[in-house]
Amino acid sequence: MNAVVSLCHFCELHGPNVLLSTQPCRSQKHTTLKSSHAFYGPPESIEAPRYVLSPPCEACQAVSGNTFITSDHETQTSYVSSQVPWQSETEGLVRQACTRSLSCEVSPGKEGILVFSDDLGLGSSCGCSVLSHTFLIRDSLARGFHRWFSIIVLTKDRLLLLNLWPFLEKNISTFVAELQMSANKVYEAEQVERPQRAIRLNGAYCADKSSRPLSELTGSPKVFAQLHLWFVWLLRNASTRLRETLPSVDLAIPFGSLEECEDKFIFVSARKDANYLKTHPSADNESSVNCVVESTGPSVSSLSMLRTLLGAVNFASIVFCLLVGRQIVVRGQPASLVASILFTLKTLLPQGCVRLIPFSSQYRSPTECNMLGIDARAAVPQPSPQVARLEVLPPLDCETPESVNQLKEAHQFTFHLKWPGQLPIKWPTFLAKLDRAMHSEQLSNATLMLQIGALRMETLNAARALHYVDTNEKKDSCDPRDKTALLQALGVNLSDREVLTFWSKSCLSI
Amino acid sequence: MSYEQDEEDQYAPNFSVGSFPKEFGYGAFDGDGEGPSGPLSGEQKPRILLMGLRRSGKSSIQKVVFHKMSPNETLFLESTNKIIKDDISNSSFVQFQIWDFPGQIDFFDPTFDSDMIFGGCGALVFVIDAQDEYNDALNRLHQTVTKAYKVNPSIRFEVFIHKVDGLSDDYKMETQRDIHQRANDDLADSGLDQIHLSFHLTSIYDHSIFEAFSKVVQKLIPQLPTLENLLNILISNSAIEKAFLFDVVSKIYIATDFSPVDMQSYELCCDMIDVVIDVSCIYGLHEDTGAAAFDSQSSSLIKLTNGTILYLREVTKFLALVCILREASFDRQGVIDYNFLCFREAIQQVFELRSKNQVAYNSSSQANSSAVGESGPNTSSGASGASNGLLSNTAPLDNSPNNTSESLKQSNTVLYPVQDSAVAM
Repeated sequence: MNAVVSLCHFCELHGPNVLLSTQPCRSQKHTTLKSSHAFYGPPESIEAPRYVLSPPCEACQAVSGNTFITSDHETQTSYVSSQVPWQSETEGLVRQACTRSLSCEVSPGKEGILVFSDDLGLGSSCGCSVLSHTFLIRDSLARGFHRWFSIIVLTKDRLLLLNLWPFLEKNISTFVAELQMSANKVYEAEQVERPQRAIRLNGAYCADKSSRPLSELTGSPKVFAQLHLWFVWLLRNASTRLRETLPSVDLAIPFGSLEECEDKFIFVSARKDANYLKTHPSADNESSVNCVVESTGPSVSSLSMLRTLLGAVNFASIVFCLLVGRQIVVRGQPASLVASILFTLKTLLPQGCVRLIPFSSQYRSPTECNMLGIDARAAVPQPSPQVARLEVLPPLDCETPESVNQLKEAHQFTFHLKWPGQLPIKWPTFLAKLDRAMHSEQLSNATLMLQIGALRMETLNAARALHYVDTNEKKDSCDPRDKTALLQALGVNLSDREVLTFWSKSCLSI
Repeated sequence: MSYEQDEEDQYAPNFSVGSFPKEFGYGAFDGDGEGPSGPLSGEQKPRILLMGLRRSGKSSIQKVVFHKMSPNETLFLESTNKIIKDDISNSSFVQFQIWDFPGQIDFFDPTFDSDMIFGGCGALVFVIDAQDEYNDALNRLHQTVTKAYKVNPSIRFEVFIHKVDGLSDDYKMETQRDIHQRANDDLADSGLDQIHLSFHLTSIYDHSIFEAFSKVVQKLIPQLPTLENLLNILISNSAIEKAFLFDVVSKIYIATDFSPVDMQSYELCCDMIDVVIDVSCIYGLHEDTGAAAFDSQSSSLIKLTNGTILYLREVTKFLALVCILREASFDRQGVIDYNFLCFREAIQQVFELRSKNQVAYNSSSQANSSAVGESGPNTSSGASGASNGLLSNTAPLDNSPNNTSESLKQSNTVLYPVQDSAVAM
């Protein structure tokens, strides 16, 4: 946890002051040093502390000159405790937090835990937040028979601090209770020896010793080493307690069927599935048809190649049909070319939306598959707005299947799109962005695949949000204006609705 | 975590010091007739800052004066670690906040908002421990005064030379002279001799701290000249030697007549208030009624063996008039009582006018006090005519018309003069 844990006290002579600060130092470069004395932080952090109080005061200088170091080899982190943090900016922040914790902030009880932060808004990164636990340590020689101390946890991450509050509160309270217990023992022993109340009432008010170090108050000379260990434990365990995971809302919609996931993080695929096809043709479990694809032969290896072959408008049409869930039928020979076209197009859709039959001898209905490759001789229904058919025609000079098989390059074929539908005037965002990206000369193929992955993810997220709202809407009717606002926030316009509807229907309502 | 509470520690964890009855605290003001309930809501309450080095006695002063802590108990006060703000809004005149500062922290540090601290402040009380070496204190005083003056030039500076109880009279005077001299020299050296410092010798073991605080508070009361004038008229017409208008809870006197205040008579009056409140608390309170120890029926008369009489009357819920007079002058108690009623009415008019002005015009406080003089005679003259006849039955004084009309002209209230011959004896 990136935080500084400090012990502060209110000195009778100097006011609020920092006694001990523990902070983690991580190695910048990966050292493989495994010796027991390894120190991972920057060397300047364990140089002799610069800070020396002008009039020396026992209570304020409890650890000055000493530095405690604990190294955690597993995470390559060293925890350094000195009086003040070694970076001067952090020192300033800790000092200010110390003053605030002891002399400014008021908690309902006398002692108690509270969080304060620079008021810069919730998401702000520049302010720091502090959790402070102020407590009293009994001291028979002090005014009021006790002294003020506080343990503060200073961090830049306010949300993290608030989330860790229960953990920190529980454990800091334990530390405090232990300190107070040992101090009470010392106090009682001293009171038995010399009852201060009586002495003071008798007028001889000279016993006041204005500065006693914490080690004297608690009767344990190694109290600061003990505190160091406590603070290290706190910092080390706070970081293992809280991990970032996906918000719980996503649990309702499993990711697994949509995209490849790894440890709940979505793997944004930028892989060319055409290659996938060639190497594992039969391992693809989504193709029930046993297709045999030759490893050699004409094929379409990339979207940009397909775009060149089809022409920009036809390509846009076919992508549009694909995105809004209409059936794409690719008819022709050879099977490898047909299947490669389909596998190239497949990268545009999330896994859950793809019901692909690479090559079939007869027509399948749109309920069975939305991407279909069929033999040139198979009968197909008339093209309709719901079904787009791409004919792959061999050159006119080769009539026999054998001569077709001789052809090695895809551009030797002609492609003919049969789709009576019309592209909308305003294209869906996905399509528009894709078109712009493919139009640009500068994007390499690999970059384009990354862009497609990002677009796919973006649309999928919007679809998920929409789906979530829609399913909840059925349960409790929510304001339609809220939904409009949500769509606006997601950057979804009217032309995207059809895309999103298809995506959420086909992959989210499983 | 809870510790065992042993006998020695009864003050340490939760402070509930003092024999001060809860119901006799500073409650909301619901004055009888004058009705300035929350007159200061629109107006910012003046602030009194208590500053000084650590252990100079700031918290003790605050606790003793405003929380009735016994001076011995202040030995067990903890050191103050943050600014303690204490709202004193008991009487409609005395409404202010006391801010008790920790001596260890320099509040002129840029991390503190000095405009916020010193901006709305009425008076700054700097406490110097006279029993200790005071060089550091004088340095700090100079620093504090110059910086606070920069932030707020209208601030009043009061220096309490504190803990003088252990000092001999000669040493006290010498210390005061020395501190006065050096503090003013320091200011002159830095070219700030327009700053006026007032010095007070104080101790929590006698009444000097109340007296000094009274002076501080009086400067924050804009109506002070009017009140003093009323008291002057009252004592001259009633053959009273000395009269104080007391804030009952804090025993601060918010006004007195123009004759010099001697400490003994002030102490006497303070003690009388204590007696009245104590007796009233013990015998006057019934558990079923939520009556306060001090109400409109409160009055007390104490005759001392030296022929002096102490006379206490309630003025408002929080104010009491305490008078010192010769026993012979008290023969005409009826006249004195009558004059007191007039006085009380005049005070109430001041209150009324003040609240009216605040609501209607929100005009400056100086205008308040002058306006009383103009509006006063009309309202009170009718009452005086009626009661003149009433008085003549009980007190057959030769009230010469001249005398009466003179007092009418002088003042806004009609007071019935006790015959000069009756006073001189």
